[in-house]
Amino acid sequence: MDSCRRVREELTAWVDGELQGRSRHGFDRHLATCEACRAEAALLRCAVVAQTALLRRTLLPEPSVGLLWTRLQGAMQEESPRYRFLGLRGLALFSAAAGMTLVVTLGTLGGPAGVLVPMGAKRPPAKVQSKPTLFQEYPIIERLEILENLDTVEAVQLEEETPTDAG
Amino acid sequence: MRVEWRILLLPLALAVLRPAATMAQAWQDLSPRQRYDAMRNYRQYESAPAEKQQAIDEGFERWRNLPPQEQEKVRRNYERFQQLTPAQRAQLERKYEKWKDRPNR
Repeated sequence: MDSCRRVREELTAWVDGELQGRSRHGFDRHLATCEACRAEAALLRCAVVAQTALLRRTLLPEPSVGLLWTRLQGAMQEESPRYRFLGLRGLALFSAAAGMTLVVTLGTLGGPAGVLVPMGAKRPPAKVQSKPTLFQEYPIIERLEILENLDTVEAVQLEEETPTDAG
Repeated sequence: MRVEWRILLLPLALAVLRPAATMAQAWQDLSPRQRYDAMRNYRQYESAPAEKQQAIDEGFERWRNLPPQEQEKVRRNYERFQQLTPAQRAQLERKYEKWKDRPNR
């Protein structure tokens, strides 16, 4: 019983791993034979492990995604300060601007054919290739009749027209 | 004497050659800007009704057969037409339609 009392006094040191040498040897030998002390030691160890885990969760919370991202950005900036502006955000902005420019350009010029054909990267439609002059002079040809007679039409006075309309 | 004849023929030769020189005949001769304009006009042609397409095809044949002086005159008229306001153009077009339908024009 005396040895039980001494062992229980040393339980805390044993759990903390501070029991060494002859003391540890005698401690282990007693535990091997004393079931009550073995149970007490197991209980104390479980309590200490549970407390340690609880303390770790409380004092050192698991890093969140936001915390990890902040740490990663900090590390990247420390590693390569010259390329700090080339973050993922910069890349996304650049891609969005390039995409927007492409859409606006193609929309204004009439789709990919509107760009590729004039640049010679794509063949024009057969009708344009066979009669380029027609489509070059299209605005004139479209109004050819009125343009041929413009002077006459301007000069003529129609019955219902008032003199002020002539100009 | 021969040289004098050549000098006299020079303005005539220039008058004949000028439209051919200013107007590219082949697609390959057009600049990117001219090609772009031609493609834009083609899209307009393509979206027009069949009757209008036919009228434009006929107009083109007539345009090709116009004498160079007539073509120059039409070009000048076109430039004048371009300077009109939209309202003036619309009025002129209405006037032309009425004039065209007159029996004794």
